[in-house]
Amino acid sequence: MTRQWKGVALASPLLIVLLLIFLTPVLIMLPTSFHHYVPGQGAIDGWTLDNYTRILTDGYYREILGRTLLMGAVVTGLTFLLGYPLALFMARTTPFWRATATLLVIFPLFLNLVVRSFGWITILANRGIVNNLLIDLGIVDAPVKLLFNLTGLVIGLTHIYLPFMVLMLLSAIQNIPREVEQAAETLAAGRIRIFFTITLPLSAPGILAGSILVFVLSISALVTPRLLGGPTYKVMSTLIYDEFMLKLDWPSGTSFAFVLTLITLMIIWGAGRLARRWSGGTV
Amino acid sequence: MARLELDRLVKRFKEFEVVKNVSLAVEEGELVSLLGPSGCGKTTILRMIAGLLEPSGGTVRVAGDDITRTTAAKRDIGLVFQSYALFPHMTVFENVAFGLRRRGVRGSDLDLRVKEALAMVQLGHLGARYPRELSGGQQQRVALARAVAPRPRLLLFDEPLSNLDAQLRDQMQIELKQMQKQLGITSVFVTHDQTEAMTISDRICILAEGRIQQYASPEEIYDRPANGFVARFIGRSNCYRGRVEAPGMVELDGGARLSIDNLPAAGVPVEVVIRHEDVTLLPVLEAGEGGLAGTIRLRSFIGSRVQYVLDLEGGGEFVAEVVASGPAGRFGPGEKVALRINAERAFVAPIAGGEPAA
Repeated sequence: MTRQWKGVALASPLLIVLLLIFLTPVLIMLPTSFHHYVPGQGAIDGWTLDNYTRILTDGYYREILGRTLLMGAVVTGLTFLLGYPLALFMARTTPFWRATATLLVIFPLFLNLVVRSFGWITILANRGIVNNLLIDLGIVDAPVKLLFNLTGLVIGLTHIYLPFMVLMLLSAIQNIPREVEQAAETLAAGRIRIFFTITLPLSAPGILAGSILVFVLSISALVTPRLLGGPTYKVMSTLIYDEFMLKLDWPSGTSFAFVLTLITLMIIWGAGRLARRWSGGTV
Repeated sequence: MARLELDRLVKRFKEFEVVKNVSLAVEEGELVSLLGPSGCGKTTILRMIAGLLEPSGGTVRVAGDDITRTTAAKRDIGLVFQSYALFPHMTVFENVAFGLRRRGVRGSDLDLRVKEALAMVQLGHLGARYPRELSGGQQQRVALARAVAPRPRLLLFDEPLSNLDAQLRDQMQIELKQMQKQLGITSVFVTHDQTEAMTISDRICILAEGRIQQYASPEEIYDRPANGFVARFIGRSNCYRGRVEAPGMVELDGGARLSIDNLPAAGVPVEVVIRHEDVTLLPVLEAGEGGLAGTIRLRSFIGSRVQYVLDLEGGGEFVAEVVASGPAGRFGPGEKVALRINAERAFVAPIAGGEPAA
């Protein structure tokens, strides 16, 4: 056996499990998405592309798709902007502070997702902590709407997925040799220039991995959008859930799921290409 | 081009003093090596010159200007790292152009100077490659080109050749020295390899435990070591402890006797350092009675020379290196020979306390 085949053989138990529990359902679902749905009868025989064309032509579904992608992009951007300085600090500080900060970063993950989302409701609601404070201070007259809209979803998801971004960035920044930055310093580069021309491009692997992870997790999150978005402010994941579980419209649900998956894969592929070009092929 | 001066430089890490009052001047265009065992503070000194480490005391001056508190970015230096420290996400051309751009070189001028620097290290054809596509030796050349391209006032080398294999290292030493002489940039070279230091330096500064042991030309350090540490550290030597028995005679700890001039008073404990090559071996019959003698235990042929390990009569071991083609090159194991020590070249000094061990 060649080296490569030995690797495949070693990974085969996992590959078989993945094949069975992941790929098989996908293959079973695929035909479903091309069937008609008749209320009261379920999916009926006969093939159609309607399920796919609808999401791209019907304004209601288009808006939900656009909103989902926008939410994913904003959450990814925010976790990156908030996470990078923190990851940089953690990479450069003493081992004691690094351990302390790591613990603080992953601590929210110990809490149940539902509990965390409810926590945000008490903070962001019309009579919640934030709005009470703003009104008491006289900054606003009426409560600012922070729930059941994009703002609420973005705040909640950013909080939940920040640790993933920070940990990905941290390992990438720690992999940058200090001497490379010092070399730039001896070549008369100032701190800001070193950051933008050396540190940032060399952490591209972490930025890419963290962004893909956070983006995919955000647009597929179900519990947080359900709680912070309410029943009417839908994103793709809650829409698909409702199609399946409330309307029992499996053909629509599966087609929406496939459209989302396809778009996600395209975005990941594009992001990878961009990162590779930007980092001189080091990703 | 400038003269570099270190004035009573001190570096402490917490309580521990790593560099102790080091004062040193490197003349314009000179190449000086900082040589010493690991932990002697040589890299720490280099990093303080580079501005990557702040001294706890003392001053660094270049061309008379105090730059002790100047950041590395403003010091106008070139530093070559042991790890090369190339920018992996930039092409060779961009790596070399980096320092030039920071100094405002643009357009065709930039193009010209990068190509000139790459030609100097014989890599003119590889500008479009990425560092990961080059061999270790080529990467180190790029690092060298990157450091010299802006024509800095000072070139610093932090063991730049120790990651290369022996043959390439010898070749690079010569190239590096040639280039340094051609450019005339004042240079400081850190190494733990004494042959390397001898090969490339105008002067060598030998350090141990954060202090300068001797600062002189390679010849002077080899011929007239300033203290026991330098004598033991430089070259390959037989080291003994003993006691002055009578004027002109030392009794080594093993019991063997050695006649040497210019000894301290009788009864003083001394250390004696004799290089492997500072001895002549003769058949016992020719030498007559009374001198130092020994039996050959091992013989190794090392090209132009032969190395013997001898058991001295009266105890102790002696390693001798002789010319292979001479009569002394033909002794075999078990043979008894007489040793004529070149006493003028032996290092003898009273044993003093507080001197670093080599």
